[in-house]
Amino acid sequence: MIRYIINRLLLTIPVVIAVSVLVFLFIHLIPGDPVEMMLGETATIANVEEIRHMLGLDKPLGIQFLDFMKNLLKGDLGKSIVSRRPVMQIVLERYPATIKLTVASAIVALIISIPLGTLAAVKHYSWIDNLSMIFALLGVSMPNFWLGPLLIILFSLTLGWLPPSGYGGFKYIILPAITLGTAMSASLTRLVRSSMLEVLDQEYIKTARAKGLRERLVIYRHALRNALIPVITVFGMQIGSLLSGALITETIFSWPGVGRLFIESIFRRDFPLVQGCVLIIALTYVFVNFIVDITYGFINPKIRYE
Amino acid sequence: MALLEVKNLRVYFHTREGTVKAVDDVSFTLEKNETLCLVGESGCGKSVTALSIIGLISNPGKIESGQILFEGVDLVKLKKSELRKFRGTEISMIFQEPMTSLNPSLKVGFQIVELLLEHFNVSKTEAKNLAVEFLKKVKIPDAVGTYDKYPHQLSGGMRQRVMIAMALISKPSLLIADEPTTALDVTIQLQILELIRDLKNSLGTSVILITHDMGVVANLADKVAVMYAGKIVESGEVFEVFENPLHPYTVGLLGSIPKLDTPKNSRLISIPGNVPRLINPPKGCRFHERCSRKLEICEIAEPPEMTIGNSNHRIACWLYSDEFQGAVDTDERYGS
Amino acid sequence: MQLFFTKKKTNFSDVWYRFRRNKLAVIGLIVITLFILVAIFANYLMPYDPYKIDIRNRLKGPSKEHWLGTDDLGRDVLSRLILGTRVSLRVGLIVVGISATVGTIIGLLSGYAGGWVDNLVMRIVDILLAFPGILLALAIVAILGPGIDHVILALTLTGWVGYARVVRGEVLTIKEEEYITAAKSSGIKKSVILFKYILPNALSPIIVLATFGIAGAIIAESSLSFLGLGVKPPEPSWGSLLNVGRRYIMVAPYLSIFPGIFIMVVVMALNFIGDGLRDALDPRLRNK
Repeated sequence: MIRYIINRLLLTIPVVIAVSVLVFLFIHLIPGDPVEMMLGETATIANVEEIRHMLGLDKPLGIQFLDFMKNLLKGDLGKSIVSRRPVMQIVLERYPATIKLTVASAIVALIISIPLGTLAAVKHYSWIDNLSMIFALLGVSMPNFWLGPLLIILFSLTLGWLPPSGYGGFKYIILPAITLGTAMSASLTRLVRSSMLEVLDQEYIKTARAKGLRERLVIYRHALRNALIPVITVFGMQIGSLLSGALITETIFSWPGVGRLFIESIFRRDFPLVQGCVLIIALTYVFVNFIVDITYGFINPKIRYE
Repeated sequence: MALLEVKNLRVYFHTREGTVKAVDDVSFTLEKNETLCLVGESGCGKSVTALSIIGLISNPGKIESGQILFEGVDLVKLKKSELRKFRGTEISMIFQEPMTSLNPSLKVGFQIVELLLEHFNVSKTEAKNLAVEFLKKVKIPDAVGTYDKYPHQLSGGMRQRVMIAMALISKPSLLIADEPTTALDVTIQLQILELIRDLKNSLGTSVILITHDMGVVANLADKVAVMYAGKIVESGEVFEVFENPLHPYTVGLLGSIPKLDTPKNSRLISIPGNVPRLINPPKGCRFHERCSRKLEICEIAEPPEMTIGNSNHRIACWLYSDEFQGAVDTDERYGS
Repeated sequence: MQLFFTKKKTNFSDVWYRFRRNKLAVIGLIVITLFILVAIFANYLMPYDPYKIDIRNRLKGPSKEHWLGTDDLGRDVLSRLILGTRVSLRVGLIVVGISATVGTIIGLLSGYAGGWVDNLVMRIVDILLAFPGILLALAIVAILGPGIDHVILALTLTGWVGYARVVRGEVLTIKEEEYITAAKSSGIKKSVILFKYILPNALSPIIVLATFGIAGAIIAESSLSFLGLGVKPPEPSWGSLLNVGRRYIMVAPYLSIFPGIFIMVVVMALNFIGDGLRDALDPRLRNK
């Protein structure tokens, strides 16, 4: 198992380095003079020189890269052009909100998909099976930038139950979490169902029944346990899509996370901050995938013992 | 009273293409301590018969009619929850594929123990001790170590031993073994069969063994029932049937006992053709299309079941019906 | 499953026959055809000039004159939705057209060349896949600024990866087939082997992937436009219409309804077609 973890870790390192390099190159790919781009019409010569120096753009590319990597290792991502505060600090302030939203959406996705998918498979061809498939179909096809507004119209505007946007207590996270979690729960429902159907067809389920186990044990201990192995892989892969979905969901609900910060920074042409956001989101994604791989190893004894 | 009495069992599968009469009017009895072999090619209804005894016929299959009397109790009439209490305690089953019959994500020890915890009032330690004891009984070399292993860490033969330990740990009255050696190496097949026979004798269990291999029958059976296309065509004491096979299908099967030099799983060659599709079974005798000694009547009417002499030897074939006896030449009967 | 690919002539009428038996796929095809017709004949279908500003009649709900109401500048929503159909479908088709072509060529070459070329390409693919979905496209648009061409570029730069991966996998499998070895040993040129022998066999998964890809590209474009980073105003796309809808959601919720329905229906239709094609092109998968 330890070898497996080290192996995964070794696979992750080059990706992290590549991500960093891409993020470093980002500012250099801007056509024309990035500093003038950033400052737009308000640029004065002194101003431009100051920013250029602040970003280290007056040094040779190689030195810039070394500085960038050195600072990165120290957790220093430079300063925001707009607020002049350290990028790292700003991003970290916004980070918990994004994590909260992502986790809440993942929970929404799991508490809908596992019971619904399991039930659909156990009661194959029943009304609940059909219902789950319709839900899966709608959920997958419905973009979150439409579902969000629809939920606001229904629950805030019409029923007045929940706030349409903002950040605060439990009430505020419900709509964003549903918006972000629905697509995932839809595809997971379909996956849980098909995986479960496949597992229920396996010989060892027959064995479990032949042992006279209660049907509940057959389903949960024997079937679901195995059916969830592929589900967890896909769940992990989709946490990444939750992160990119968060960019949009945060914007819809004025949720103060990294995603909204990212979009705002793009509009403000605050490139160091854009860089910081891209980096933190990509690294989170890589990290999550790493954790998922490890978890997968724990669940699947075939991997654990090799 | 017989341990098990199956009477006029019919199991149909209602599929989109039509009704598959997988088991069609099957009757047999099994006494205590007896081994009955159900023989026939694949698709003839052996496994379905076995699964209906243990109550595991699943959609779209259904027991249409008939009785399965187990120690006098009709299992067909029992509620699901009542039937469940028989499974794993009174009636156990082992399957063909040891590679897939054990849950890959649970330790084998636990898979045995959970049966005990489900049905009996035992502590976890007692259950574990009993499980280890039975792993020893099925001659697994490192029983204590094996207890904590996952199925994929064991060979096919070892897994089948685990399955046998699991099936027999509650000392059931009836063990159903569905082709328990087919998927195993030839060298291990015999060991497993001997294990089943020894444990059967020491625990006093009755066995229904399903196989397509007449060699296995000769090895283990007290009684044999030959199935073809959902019906039992011939049954009786094993010596009687082997020494005096009457039904042309049985004769064909006996002519096809695999020799050691035939490759594993090679098709049994001596009977031309295939088992008919059971959605639209042929009229008359279901075997007539492949039968070398077909009479005119065979295409028209189903053969009656009859007993030969005073024995338990029963057969369903027009060749031996009194009305048509004249048509059969005695030499031909034993020749083929 | 791909392992079972052998040389086969995909018979068009067989595929069509199997496709036709899938009701949902046929419905999907009809729906998409309708949308394409709307996009082509947009100019004749729009009841009003989609750019005509009418401040007096801004944010008016659906009425006899304006079936779907007017937007924040008093423009007719139905007309903008019809024109938006053209924009959204065009982006979807162009992005997939370019990504599929580029990805296929890269995948073919990478798989066929093997060695360090293959290694390098696959590392690049891995790195691109290390970024979650739309993040990279957003970053690219952030560099280049909004605009439909930039959106297409951004989505293509990230979109080719999937095709390259699938095609490469196909090539690696097909490469070992006897008829390819036979072709090689009879001295047929590499380029001929690649495009005449290997490509046709890898075509099925490409077609299926492209169908789903169009849906993905339409959603991606809509997302960018919804965030205000896609099409430049006043040009309408389904996403930018929803962007306006979001800003006025408290006073004019009707603005948020219809563009979303259009997106969802098209995406669903494309997914049905994709499923249908997958089953029709490779019936073996269906039986699994």
